[in-house]
Amino acid sequence: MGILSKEQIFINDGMSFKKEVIQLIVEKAVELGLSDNNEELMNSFMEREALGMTGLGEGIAIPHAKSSSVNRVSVMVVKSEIPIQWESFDDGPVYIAIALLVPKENADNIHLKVLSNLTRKLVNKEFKENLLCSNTPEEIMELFKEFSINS
Amino acid sequence: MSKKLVAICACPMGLAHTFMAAQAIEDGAKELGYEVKVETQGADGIQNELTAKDIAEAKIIIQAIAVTPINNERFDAYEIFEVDLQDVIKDAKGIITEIESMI
Repeated sequence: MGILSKEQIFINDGMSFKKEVIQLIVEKAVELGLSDNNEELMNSFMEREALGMTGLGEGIAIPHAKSSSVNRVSVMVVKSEIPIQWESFDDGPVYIAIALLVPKENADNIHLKVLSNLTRKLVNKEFKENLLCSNTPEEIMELFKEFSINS
Repeated sequence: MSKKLVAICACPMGLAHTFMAAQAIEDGAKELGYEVKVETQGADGIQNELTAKDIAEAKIIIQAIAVTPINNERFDAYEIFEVDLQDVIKDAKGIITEIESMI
């Protein structure tokens, strides 16, 4: 079982605000069985938001939650066709939110390694550009594979 | 002997910025001709741990941290350059160059 699958990638064309997008991520995470508590997961994400900006700039955001309501290390992606208002280091909007979900305890080390590979790739210009140009869940999965993020 | 740069990256949740900073420092240092080793203290524990030898041989020691690193006593005898995780993610090469001008 990998940390990302097509079913965990969503295309947004209606939401313009960070909180709504995070709410969607939380709902879907529970639907998919990645988490079993809507409220707790939402709180974890928002607690992290309060600590500092997750908008990295260049249209990318990395909200993350380390919570006992998370069942396994997983990644959820929201690719947006419209700009999302999200506090970012360059004051710009976000077009892709990559949410990291990690259990509070007993997180699988192999999965954590895959996760760290993913976040390291976020420093790579080509990877970021390709991410921003991708339009479907399939394309995003392909991209991860191409950049050897073995999910 | 080529010039060496070592760094340690640590942030509270250790899920994202820790690794991005490590990658940025590795890329930036290599571009500037350094042999580089970066220890991360993230959610997956201590990876690529810096040994006493690594630290002793380093021309530059960087701490990109938002928490005090584990085993920080290793660095007691040395000059450390502490940098903001976000800053180094944005421009590792620039920060290393700036440090070079200070030593």
